[in-house]
Amino acid sequence: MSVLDGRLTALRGQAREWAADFRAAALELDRDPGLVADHLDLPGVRCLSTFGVPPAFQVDPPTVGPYRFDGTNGLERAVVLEEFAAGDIGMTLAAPGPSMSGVLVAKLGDQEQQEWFFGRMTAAPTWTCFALTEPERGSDASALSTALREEDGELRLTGAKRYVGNAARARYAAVFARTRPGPLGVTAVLLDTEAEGYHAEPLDSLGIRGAQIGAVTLNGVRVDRDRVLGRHLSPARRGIWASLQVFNELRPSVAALALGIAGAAHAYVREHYAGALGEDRDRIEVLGGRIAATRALVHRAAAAVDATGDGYLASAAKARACALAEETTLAACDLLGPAARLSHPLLDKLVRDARGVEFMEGTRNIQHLNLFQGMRSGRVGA
Amino acid sequence: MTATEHGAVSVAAAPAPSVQDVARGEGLAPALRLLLGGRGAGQAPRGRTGFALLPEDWAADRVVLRRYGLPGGPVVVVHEPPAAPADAGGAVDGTDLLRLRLGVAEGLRDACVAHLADRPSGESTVLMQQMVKGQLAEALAHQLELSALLDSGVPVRGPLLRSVHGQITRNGRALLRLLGARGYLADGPGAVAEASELLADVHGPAKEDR
Repeated sequence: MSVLDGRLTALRGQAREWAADFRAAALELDRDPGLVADHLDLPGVRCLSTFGVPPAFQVDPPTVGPYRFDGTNGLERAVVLEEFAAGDIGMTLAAPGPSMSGVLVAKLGDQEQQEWFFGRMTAAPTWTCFALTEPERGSDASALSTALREEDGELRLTGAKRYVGNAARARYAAVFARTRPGPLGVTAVLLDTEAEGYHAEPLDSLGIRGAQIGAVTLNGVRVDRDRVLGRHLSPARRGIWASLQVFNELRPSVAALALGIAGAAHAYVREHYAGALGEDRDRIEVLGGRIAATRALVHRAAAAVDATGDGYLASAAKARACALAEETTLAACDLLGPAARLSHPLLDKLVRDARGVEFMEGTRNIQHLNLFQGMRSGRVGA
Repeated sequence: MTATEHGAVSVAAAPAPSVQDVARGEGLAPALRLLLGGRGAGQAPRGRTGFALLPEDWAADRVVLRRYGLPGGPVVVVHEPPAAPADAGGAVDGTDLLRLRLGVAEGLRDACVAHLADRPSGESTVLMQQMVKGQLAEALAHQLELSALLDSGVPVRGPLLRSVHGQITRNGRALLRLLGARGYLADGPGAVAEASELLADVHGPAKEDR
């Protein structure tokens, strides 16, 4: 039984319609990620530009029929992002908007910080980025080394980040840093990327090129004290705990992105190999069944995160969805025969994109470790 | 054997490096040269749909569809509609191509071990995490099995050929996952695996041959 009600079903249908525009632009954006600027008027891109802005800060909240939606709910995000990614994950992640930083600000920001950040999101399409991962330490928040220090009465940020989506085009960055050793020394700040000392450059990736992942260097960037997120909270609730909460909330969304790629590859092979018979037809049908099963798990995981904040089920969903995206795209190539990738550029793009979701939000190993913790604690699978 | 006053003496020439070893140690382009060497640049085989993956210097006058700057030299994808089936020097030897791709996967394993041994994790390195050790061992065991298969003389064609290509692809991807996002950059090990996957795509057997 699907957990989607009439409202979410309506959103899904609308998102699917908007995603057709993403598909049409997918290959050109893959060739030149800068072209996202030419697509800001697409309804789906406009939707993403405020997707995640809490209702209190929405100026003109998006509606579908009689329903309002804002992207602050995990299940809603999962439904919409699957459809957008089935159109094109590159455009989905290239779009301006609060994205991951929005979840962090909504969770950690005080009233003024939320007004400051979300006000900018609703005023005009604005790119943001979420800078946690470091070159030598990955996304392990407990091991990060970027430092936020007091120097001559000012806060200065020094360090390096890597694999940050939209880093070079973002106007605002949420950056994780350390004020002192230990888990309570981790904090997050909001930066205006035009500040002196911030430098970001794109990294050339094999897929999801629209997102233009980048490397960031922070050379003594001055940070306004009122841009330190969670300044009204205890250190225990604004550091690693906060980053884990954000990751828990976003994990079903990443699973949904992977699911969208799997669905797109499945639809592609059904369209381009409509005459499949025998084993091939069975294989395509089984893939469809697996996509439906993983979708049910993703929705269940998103509902669980919304209800309890627990991300254990979401770890299972993320791991399964990423594996499915890889398997479905490879199976589609196999079914279409020799040179399928080079003869079908859109399928080739899906193959390359499918590998990329693996690295977002922790690879399969990290998800398995998290799931194990959930099993041991009796929070999942009991 | 050479006859001397002391009798027959073996004069063993150093064995030529195999395409598998070259792919592992030197890179994809040198391995491709070895694989296609006897034919010359102009006679490099294309897949049946006309695509080919070649060392860049072998693609002199052709339109390059895609380029990978890899260790050992760049390789490119080109396309020329074939005038006749299996023209331009005939098909690539299926087993040799598997050996090349297996060598690439072995090189990925080397890259993983080197990278993860340098990557700190707590008081140790990522390489020494139980989960990582297990996955590297699994990848190695799989590679050893594939190597044994290719050495066994069992004909690898039809559905088995397709399956082994798929196994090498999945083996490579399992290794790349251990590298995290580094395995997804266009100038990293992931690009080598990507080019290897395209080789399988170009020269994979058609359904009627499976």
